[in-house]
Formats: sequence, structure tokens, C-alpha cells
Amino acid sequence: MRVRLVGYEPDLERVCAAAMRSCYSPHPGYELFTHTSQDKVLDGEKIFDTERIGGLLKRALELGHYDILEHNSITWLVEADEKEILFLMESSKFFETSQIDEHRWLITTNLRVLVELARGTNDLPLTKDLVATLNEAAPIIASALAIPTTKS
Amino acid sequence: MASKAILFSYTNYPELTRNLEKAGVKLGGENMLRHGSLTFDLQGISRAASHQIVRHRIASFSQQSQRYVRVTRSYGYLKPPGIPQDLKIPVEIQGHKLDLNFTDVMDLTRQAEEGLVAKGIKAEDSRYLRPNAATTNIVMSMSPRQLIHFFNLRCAPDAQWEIRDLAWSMYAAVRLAAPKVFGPLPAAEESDYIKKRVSVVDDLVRKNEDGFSKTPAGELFQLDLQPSLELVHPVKTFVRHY
Repeated sequence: MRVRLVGYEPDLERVCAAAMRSCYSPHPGYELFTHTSQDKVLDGEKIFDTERIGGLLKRALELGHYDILEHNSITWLVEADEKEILFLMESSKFFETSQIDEHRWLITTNLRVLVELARGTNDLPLTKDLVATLNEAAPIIASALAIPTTKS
Repeated sequence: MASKAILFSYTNYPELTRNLEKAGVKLGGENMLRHGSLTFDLQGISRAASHQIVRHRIASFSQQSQRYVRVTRSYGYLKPPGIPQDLKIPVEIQGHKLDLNFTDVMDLTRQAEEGLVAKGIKAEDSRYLRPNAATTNIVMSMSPRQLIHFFNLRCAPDAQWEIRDLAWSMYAAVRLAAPKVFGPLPAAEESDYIKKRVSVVDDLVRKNEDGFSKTPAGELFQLDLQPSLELVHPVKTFVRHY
């Protein structure tokens, strides 16, 4: 075990897409989030299906509209040394860390930070391992960014 | 339309704890304050309240745009309960004396904004007429630690009534959703006002945990806060059950 994904919110990509759309819609975020079938009519809104969610998230990635990707958290149990953890903390204000013992840490951040790391230039093994877990937690984003599924 | 606070996405702390235990790590809820996040959809709150909310900078917000959402599709306002509905304010405009109540003034600003748009003025300029009472929707995410800081400040008796009502509604919601992580507020030790209401929330959570646990996965559970929490204005409070 070097990086073990231990927690993330279910439907987190749908949450981010609903938050994004809520900025431009007369309808609030939760109504958009649950607009998943024809049974519920939301005037002027497309059904919030996988295609719609994917479209909104890809648009956010194109525009660099990363703030909508902050409405979630992803948590890992990680084996790392202090230097690696310090690097993460310096890279973003959104990293939260708790030291468990000499080599193990509980780390939390959000999708925005992972996207920025994935698009960044650093290729530290720990960063790569964290980014690879996007395939499980945020498959639409992972596929849009072509994240490899390699495990350490 | 009553304001709503909907806790619709949050870390599944029991699952997180189980996953850590599988890896041989035992951490209690009090160790989770920096980990995970909780996301609220706050609907139909005033711009006066949302301005105060976004001052909590270590959080994430997505707020309804006044430029892109047309006033004719989004207009609403919140009248402070402290202003009587029938209270008339004398005003003089272009030599005409008028007695207007709060609702009349809201109606006037809406008509003026729509009128500007109808004359071809851009929405981004017309909206400068929008009053602080105009309602907005905002999606907000915070970690438990940030939320506790928010509650300590905004549940206090000297907090402004609208944000205070919202803060108590949100506090009750997180107590129901993540009881192992959120306990009594630290500020209760210094304030009888907060202490008394925290114990009201304790009772509310105890009475509602059974109904909440029986709510189908993905559905909302409504927490009835009134009359026990003595909110100044109604805030419909919901928690999504996983």
C-alpha cells in the first residue's frame, strides 16, 4: 500500500456539474442535481444524465472554471515521507493532512487540486498515484484528462 | 418562498472509518474534523445573507449569476420580519408624494430593472438596481472544521438573524448526517444562549434519527426545527440520506 483511497462523496461529479449549472440557471443546485428523468420538469433545463454531466465538466476543464470542482473531498491513507507531504501542502491550500505514525498519513483534498496536479508538470510518484485514483472517484474527469490507471 | 438549506452531499464518515479500520488504522470522529466535506444548497436566501456567508473564505461557493440569469426568471425577495407588512414609508419622487410599503419598493425596483432590460440595457448593468433583499441560490462546501468555526460565529445571539437562522438549520443538519463528527459547539461553553439551543438540537436529532435512517437512499429527509429552535424566519431544512 502506498496510496489507498478511503473516502469520497458518492456522485461527486454530478454535484460539481449541478454547482456549475446553478450559476447560470434560475433553478437551484439541488433541483438540477436531481433532474435525472423526464418525470420532473425543470423549465429550460436538459436532463441531468451522464452525457449532460460530462458536457458540463468538460466545458469547465476547457474554460479553466476549476472552482466548481471544489464541491467535494477525496481522502487517502498514504505511505510517504515528510518531504513528499510538504510538497503536497505547498502545492495547494486545499490539502489537509493528519500524521498517523512515522510513515503513514491521512490526506484530504478536492477534485480541483487533482486536476491541477494532473495538468501540472511535476511527475512525483506520490502525485501520480493520487491522480490515478481519479479513475475510481471521478471517471468522467479521468477520461477527459486521459489519466493512466497505473498503480505503484 | 421560504428559504431552504439542503445538505445534499457529504462524506460518508462511517464508511471512511471502516475503510481505515481495514487498513489497521483506528481514528474516532474527533480526528476527522480536517477530513471530508459537506455541501449545502442554500435556496432563496437574501443577497444580504449571502454576502456574509462568502466572507468565510476557506470554503467553496457557486452562486447564481445576476448577469446570466434574467431578472424575470429569478426575481424574489426576502422581507425582514422586523419590517411590518403594512408600514408605509413616505417618499417624494418628481414632485409626487407616495406612501410605499416594503413590498411596493421591491415591486418598484423589479419593474425598473425589467424596464431597463426592455430598453436594451445589458443585464449586467440593469442588475445594479437589485436590492439586498433580492434572493439568490448558493452551493457551499466546507470541511467539518470550517463549519464549526462558521457555527461558532453565526449561531451566536449577536449574529444577524437571517444568517443565524441558516447557521442553526445547517448545524442541525450536520448533527443528523454525521453525529460522530459533530457534537456540541465549542461556543456553548461561553454562551447560555448557544448552550440552550444546542440542547434543543440534541433533542431534535434524537427524535429524528430513526426517521432519517429509514429514509430511502438518495431521498431527502426534512427536519422540522420550529417551534423548538425559535427561528426568526422559516428555513426548510433537509438532509439527503445515503
